[in-house]
Amino acid sequence: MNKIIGFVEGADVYLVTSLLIFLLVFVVVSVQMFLMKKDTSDKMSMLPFHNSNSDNNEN
Amino acid sequence: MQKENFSYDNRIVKNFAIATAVWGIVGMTVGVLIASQLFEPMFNLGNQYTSFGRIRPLHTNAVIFAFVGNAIFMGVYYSLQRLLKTRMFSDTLSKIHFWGWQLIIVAAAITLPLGITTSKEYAELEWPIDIAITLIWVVFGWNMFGTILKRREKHLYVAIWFYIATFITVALLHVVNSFELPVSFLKSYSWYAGVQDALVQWWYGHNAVAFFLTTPFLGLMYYYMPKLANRPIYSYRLSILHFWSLIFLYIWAGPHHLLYSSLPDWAQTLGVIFSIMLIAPSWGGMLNGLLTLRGAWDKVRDDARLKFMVVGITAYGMATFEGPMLSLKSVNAIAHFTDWIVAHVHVGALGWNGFLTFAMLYYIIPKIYNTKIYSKKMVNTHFWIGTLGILLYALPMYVSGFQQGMMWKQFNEVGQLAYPNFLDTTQQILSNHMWRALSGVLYLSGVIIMAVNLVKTAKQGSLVANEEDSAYPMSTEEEHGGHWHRWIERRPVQLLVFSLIVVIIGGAVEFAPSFLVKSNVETIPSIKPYSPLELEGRDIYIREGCNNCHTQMIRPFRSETVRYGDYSKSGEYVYDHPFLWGSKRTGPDLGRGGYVGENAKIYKPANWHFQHMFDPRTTSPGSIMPAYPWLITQDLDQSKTVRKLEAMQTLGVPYDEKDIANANRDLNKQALEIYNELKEQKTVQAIVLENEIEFDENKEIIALIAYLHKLGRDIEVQPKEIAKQP
Repeated sequence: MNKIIGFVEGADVYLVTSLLIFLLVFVVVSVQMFLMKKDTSDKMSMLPFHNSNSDNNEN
Repeated sequence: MQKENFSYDNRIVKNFAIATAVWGIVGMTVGVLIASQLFEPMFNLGNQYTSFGRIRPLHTNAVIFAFVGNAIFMGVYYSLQRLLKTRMFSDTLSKIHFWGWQLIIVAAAITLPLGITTSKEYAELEWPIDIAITLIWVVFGWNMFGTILKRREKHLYVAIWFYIATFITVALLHVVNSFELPVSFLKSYSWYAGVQDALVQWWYGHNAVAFFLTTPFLGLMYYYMPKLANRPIYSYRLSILHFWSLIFLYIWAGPHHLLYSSLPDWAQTLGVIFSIMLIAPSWGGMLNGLLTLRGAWDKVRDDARLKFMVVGITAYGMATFEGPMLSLKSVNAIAHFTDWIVAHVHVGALGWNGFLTFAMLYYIIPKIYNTKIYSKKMVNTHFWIGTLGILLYALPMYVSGFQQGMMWKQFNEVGQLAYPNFLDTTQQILSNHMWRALSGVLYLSGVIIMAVNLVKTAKQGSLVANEEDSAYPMSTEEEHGGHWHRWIERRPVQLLVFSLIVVIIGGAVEFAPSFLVKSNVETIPSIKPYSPLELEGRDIYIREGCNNCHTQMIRPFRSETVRYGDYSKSGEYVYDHPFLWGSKRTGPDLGRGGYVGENAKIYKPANWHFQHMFDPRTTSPGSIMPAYPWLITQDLDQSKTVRKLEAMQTLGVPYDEKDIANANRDLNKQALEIYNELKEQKTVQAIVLENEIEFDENKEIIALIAYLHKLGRDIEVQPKEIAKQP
């Protein structure tokens, strides 16, 4: 990466920092995702079905 | 705690549904018309308001912002209320949003055929309409956040995160790309110039696809797919990873639209890297959608709405795999500027956006009219006609793009271009263009069948304008423990801010070096600003939408430098507000159209341009370019010339006070020189006499010729210095 962008003075700092931020966010989200309890995941995924009226799938 | 009774606003959903169908038919009809123009110029209908360059933007704006835009709002207003167990924040804001958006579309439908355009793709609307878009978008956000804040469901479902990211990022994209300096009520110049303008434009253009055509539809997929399949999304965990990865990565990939251009190499490479990385979250989302049907695929056989969903999500997967492949430089070298890109875009638009929209309409309309669909058979017919339409669109366009791209690059055994005449490559693909128009008719027919079916459905039921429901009020007790994401799912404002930070990072990193590091844009001393006449000619070029078919960007390939002349340098465009590089070569590149020095390749004299504009087939047999006879009869409007130069001066173009004071005098002097040259030519005399035209030095054609003769002309002054540059 440094070789490609080296001729733009200072640009490598922007890019490497940003990639590190992305990596950090990605790792944190991934870890949290795996630590998430199944109950929580199941509850969240059922949110579209919580309406009390008859919002079923008949057409 | 007691349940509270409330009602959902279905009327606003109905209004957006009607607008979706109506604008869809309008936009696709214009699409069929412009598709027909690309094999038979007669379909330009012989007047300036329906010529390809003017109504191609009408098609793109109508299908993106009118058809897809209204579909997004329909889907969001329906799902948001139900996911949050509350009515929309304000019925008044809902109405302002609806009618404001429709007025913007009408304004676009009026101004674009009139040639009132900024020329920036998917952002062609002029500055007053840009301001209106900003205001209405704020109304949408205000209404959405008001609804979120008064919700009865504490946790925000994944669909809502995508809606929030869409709102904030589209706002950011629109505002940054729309920085322009008004010259008059309906004319402005982009604040940015040349390579910087190109970078901002394709940061916008790419992310308009990302955050207008993708993220809102992913949110809609996460709601409507489970509803249609009657089972929860396959993996909620995957949806979290999908969301954050996608919004972080997408924003970086814009420069892949500018490969082999004058954009600095580092920015191009950055765009490629992030495009490849983008496959992962895109396919994560696709698989999450499709695997929702795991164990229930039998439902697809019986429910055409699920068929639409499955094909739509599959099209998303195909397009998001193809996109990164097209960003590879070796593939891009062949595909860019050809019909291949058009095919790629339409797989996404017709398949992903179109089919998901149809599935939503078939789900929502019976619900809000408290009835069943009028005819399942018609839904099935629509599905098969639409699918056939997509296939018949994509396949001929892939063939066309690959064939023309290869023909442009083909050399014969003695090292000369095998097809030196650009038209030879055009003629080879006209049959593919006919298939494209036919496929458009098929797809449009399906939409008309859908519209009839939905009207019949509505007539057999009655609108439940206020649908009753009840829910417990949101608990005010703070939940303790849990993980980080559970925390942010309950905090919409923090989610918005965090999303904004994530998308700003990518844009800032790309922009900052280009704007702050001078070495990114080389200086070429011989490049001079446009004369007043050339500037007026450039505005006519913009008005007629010539950049829809002609590029001004010669890539550093032998096949291009042999055909067009020396490759383009970023320093050539420093006075171009806006840039006019184009993205499609239906006709040849014009970047060196005015170069008359050694090895001039495409220069044409003034009388050739005159004849060509009057009737392209007389100079270029077999050409599919529209005729522009009005340029010869219409007077050039000189009333704004001084203001235009002043605006350019404000933007940094080095006009001095003398240039501005003498603008009209200089314009007329240069025009008279071109006129005197033209009137001596027999071809010009013949056209003028035969058609009884009152031709003089103040006609628009003269300004346009002046501009075309300026293109690439200045580069000849210092050929040795230029040749030394990498």
